[in-house]
Amino acid sequence: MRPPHPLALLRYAALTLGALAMALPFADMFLGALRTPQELLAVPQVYWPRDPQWRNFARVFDELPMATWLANSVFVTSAITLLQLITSAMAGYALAKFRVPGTTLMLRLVLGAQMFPFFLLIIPIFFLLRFVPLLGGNDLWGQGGSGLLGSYAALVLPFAVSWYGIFLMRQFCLGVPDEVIDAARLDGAGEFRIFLTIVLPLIRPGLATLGIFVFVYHWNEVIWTITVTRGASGLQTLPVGIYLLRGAFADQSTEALQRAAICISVLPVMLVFLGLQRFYVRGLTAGSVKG
Amino acid sequence: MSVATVSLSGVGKAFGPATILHDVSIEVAHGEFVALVGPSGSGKSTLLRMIAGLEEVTSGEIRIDGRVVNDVPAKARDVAMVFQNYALYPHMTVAQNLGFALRMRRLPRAEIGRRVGEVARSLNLEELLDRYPRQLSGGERQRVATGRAIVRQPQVFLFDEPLSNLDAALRVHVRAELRALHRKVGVASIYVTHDQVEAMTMADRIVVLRGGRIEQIGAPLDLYDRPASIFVATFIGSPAMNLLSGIRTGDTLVTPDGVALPIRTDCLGKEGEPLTLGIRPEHVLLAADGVALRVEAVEQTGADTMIMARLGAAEVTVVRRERIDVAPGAHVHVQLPQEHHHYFDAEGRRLPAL
Ligand SMILES: Nc1ncnc2c1ncn2[C@@H]1O[C@H](COP(=O)(O)OP(=O)(O)O)[C@@H](O)[C@H]1O
Ligand SMILES: [Mg+2]
Repeated sequence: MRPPHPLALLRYAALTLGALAMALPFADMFLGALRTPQELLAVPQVYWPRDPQWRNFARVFDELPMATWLANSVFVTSAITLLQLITSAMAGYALAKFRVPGTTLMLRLVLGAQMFPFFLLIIPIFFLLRFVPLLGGNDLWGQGGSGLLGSYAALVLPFAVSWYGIFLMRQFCLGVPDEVIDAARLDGAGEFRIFLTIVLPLIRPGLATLGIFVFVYHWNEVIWTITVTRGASGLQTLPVGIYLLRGAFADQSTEALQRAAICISVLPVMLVFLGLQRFYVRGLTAGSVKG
Repeated sequence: MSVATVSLSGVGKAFGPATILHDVSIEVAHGEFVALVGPSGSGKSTLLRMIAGLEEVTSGEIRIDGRVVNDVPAKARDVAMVFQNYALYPHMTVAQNLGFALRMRRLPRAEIGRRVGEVARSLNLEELLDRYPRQLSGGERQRVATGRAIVRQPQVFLFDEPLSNLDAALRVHVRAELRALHRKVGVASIYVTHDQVEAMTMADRIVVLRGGRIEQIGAPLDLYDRPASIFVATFIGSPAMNLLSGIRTGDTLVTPDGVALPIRTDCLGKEGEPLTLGIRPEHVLLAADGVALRVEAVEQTGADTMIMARLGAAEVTVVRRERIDVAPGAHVHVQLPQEHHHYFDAEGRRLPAL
């Protein structure tokens, strides 16, 4: 075997350092989840748990509404991801491949939307949901009830469409050759069927990339969820539940439980990533579809 | 009776303010193979896409089998097209590519399998049915694209420069294959190419397009023998027809260099007006006396000798099917037999010799 090139060694060293920097906090979190309350309270703190409390992971489900949080998180995040994939792929395809009047204007609007970070929109969207007519006990003028606040719709709908997703999918759709779409038209496929059977499979790396981004981002979303689930604790998601836990029990005896909950909250994201990384990596490197 | 399979009457196309096609009328008979030639940008692809239903018709009428299809979408026109870059579905195997149109028509699985197998056999694709397009060579992709068109048994085939991505040797081979295929299937075909050899060798009739207008329609040899304009005269035939311009003076054409070339007495060019004399390279005869040319270059192919020479400012090419020993810089004398003259007016239109 040839001795490795010095540059290659350097590259591996850098990658190893990066991987360690990423992995160590997780390891620390994991160790923390295994400590006994005595170990936590000891001064100085015991770092390596002598009697790993695997039960902490089960206790999280017994003593906290972990199952509800998890179910809410999975449902809300999956719904947002699915909706964004659908709306982004459709709008991106239309903006990439159809010459209709106003396409350029719409594209500018989509790009312009990025100038407004979401936290600027929290208050307007809050009131939109609060005063939506005829829903959630509201009358025609949006008065009388609480609108969509405190419903799953409030958690999902504001994120059903994203400028970023539309723009990313448009880039991938641009990579689909026009002639391939035309060939399908001549082969007798209708427009929606072309979208389903030709365009979607060809932009799959893009869908996987967007899917991972959206899932991770919204899995960790806290601010909006806290805003609209105030007074509707049954809708709380994992990160919100864990976040509020800290305030509720400031005493350190529950710290191991908090840490165990956090460890569990990371799992679904890892599963999604592992499932999609094959496409995701390809999407990052290819960026377009090759004929 | 014999309704033309494809009939265009007064077809025009504009993209916004730019008019790309003007008043195009073509009839393609059942089983006919028509080549559409013209330089790049002359509107060949646009015309083909309009017939296919991929571009809207700005004016005029397109009929397929007697039915006006201006507003019929592509999927309902029963037209198949082979694209220049083949446009295979990258995520489908060869078998799936071939069967896609049949699946869209919801044919029974067994029927799809049978027809895909049949086409694969006739195009020698059986070995490749499970491959993806990226695993095929250029020639194989071309065959799959052709197969995808014929598997549907459409009323009309459209080809948009289907051979331009193949190397020269393969092109000659596939050209013959396509021609044989057309004879067997006998479906009306419109074949776009900018390669006049392809058009001459494959087509029953050629349509020459120039700047979005039809310049001439005719059988290949008609176009060769009686080109309607200088444009067609130089576009069809290789090496191109020699052109000698000057002023008609009595029964001669006087070139700017003062050379008087005898012309036919029945030439319709007007006295004292510009006239262009055309003559094909193989019709120029070497002689002991006659018009003197200065030789600039000589190419020997073994069978032929091609002499590129000058008559004053004009270039004259001579092709003879014999070996001629002549060096650049030398002078040769040529005769320009009058029965092979073509005459064109100042606008480049053919002057019909009576
Ligand atoms: N979608 C379009 N929008 C505007 N102009 C176009 C479009 N498609 C083609 N053209 C123009 O029409 C002319 C003819 O193009 P085309 O039909 O592709 O020519 P050819 O196939 O003979 O090379 C060109 O000048 C081209 O720029
Ligand atoms: Mg073209």
